[in-house]
Amino acid sequence: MKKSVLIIILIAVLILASVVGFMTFRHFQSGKYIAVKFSNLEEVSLIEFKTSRQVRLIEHTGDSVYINKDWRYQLKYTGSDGYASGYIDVDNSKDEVVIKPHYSDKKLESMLDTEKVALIHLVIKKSYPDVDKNYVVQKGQLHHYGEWYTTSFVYKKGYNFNSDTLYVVLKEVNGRWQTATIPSITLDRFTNPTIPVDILRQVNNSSS
Amino acid sequence: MIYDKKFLRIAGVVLGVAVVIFALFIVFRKSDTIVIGGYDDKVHNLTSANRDFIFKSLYNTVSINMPKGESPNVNDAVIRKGSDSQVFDKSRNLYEGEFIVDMKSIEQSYHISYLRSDDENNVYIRGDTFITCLPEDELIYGDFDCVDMFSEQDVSLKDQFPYVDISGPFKITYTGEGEHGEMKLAVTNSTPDGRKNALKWLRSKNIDPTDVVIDYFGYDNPFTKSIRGF
Repeated sequence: MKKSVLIIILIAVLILASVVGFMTFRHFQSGKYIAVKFSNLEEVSLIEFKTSRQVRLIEHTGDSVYINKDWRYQLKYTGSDGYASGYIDVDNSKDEVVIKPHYSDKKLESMLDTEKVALIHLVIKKSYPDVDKNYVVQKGQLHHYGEWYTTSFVYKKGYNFNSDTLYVVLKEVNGRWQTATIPSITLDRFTNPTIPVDILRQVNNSSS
Repeated sequence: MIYDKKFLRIAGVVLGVAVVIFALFIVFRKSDTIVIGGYDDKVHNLTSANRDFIFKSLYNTVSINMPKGESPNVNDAVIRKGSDSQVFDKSRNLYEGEFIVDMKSIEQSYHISYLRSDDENNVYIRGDTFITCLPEDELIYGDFDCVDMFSEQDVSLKDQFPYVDISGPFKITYTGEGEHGEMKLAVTNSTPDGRKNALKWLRSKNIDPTDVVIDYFGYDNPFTKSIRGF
């Protein structure tokens, strides 16, 4: 083979290698790997938000997925028995996403037996001794792992200028229930920074 | 020998060009963060992920305030002397801190506040950051018509207030901005049904009552003076 042909081939290989190297570099610049850790889930998949397209199924906890930093992704998960299903946004500024599903509504409902309702209502009455005079405290519901509870106070003396329904959140701390908010028409996340926002949204959804 | 001097020269030139192109790419590649000088000395008890998030959030906020088509290329962001503080709220197991960052090259400054907890059950276990505009008297390079993540959302919303619905009945007034840039509203001239209608109207404008502070004037909350147990 002529020397000049060899040189051309070598130059072509070098250029090709540079291009491949550059493309690989760009690939890693525009995206990143994020580890997905989870427990108590039957299935997890990465979804491209805009198109709702399933990018890939994540089979094992700790598996890494490659995401483009300019795109928005969600992880869709199906809870195993007693655990909730849902979606979680992928934060591309973080290196891992941890999915800890809360209990399912069905499980939370089964946990809220008459005895527990009575116990929580007793705490409410201790915090607000006059509540029964004007309001009926509703059965309410548990949230997350059963450590949060929300309910409403429905005015019972007929319609007047002050007969709004009020909402309150309680939390179980070290086995004892405590009121976590002042009963209010709506509960915002700035006045109540210690309450998980998803719980506040759920409460406010029922108020409006 | 196949690899004579000529070949080596050509190969060297090709390699050299590739290296130069690669170096130029590294130098001029678009960065999507603004590194804040002095951060590690002045901000403690946050994770490296929190730091990266603050740098990225600052970049995003500065991007909103750059002339159209320009991206921020800031290398001189520094924490203003004496503006940094951090407290630990023991009852909430929460680190709360703030500082002002100045960027002389683009003549902009911002207020940065953050929250982070060590407690796994706390909603701030991963931290949260708020980057907001400064009041005019704290802008050392002058007013630059600052828009932050909150005000950008609220500009069109604020224009809708005051809103009056006589049949509601309710009136909603914008009363200002809270500590974290949150919108504060007042619902007045209303009744229980009117307040429900006011909330429905807010939702129709994509305003979630969770994300705004609402004062219900005229409503006398019988539990306001009760002692909170938590």
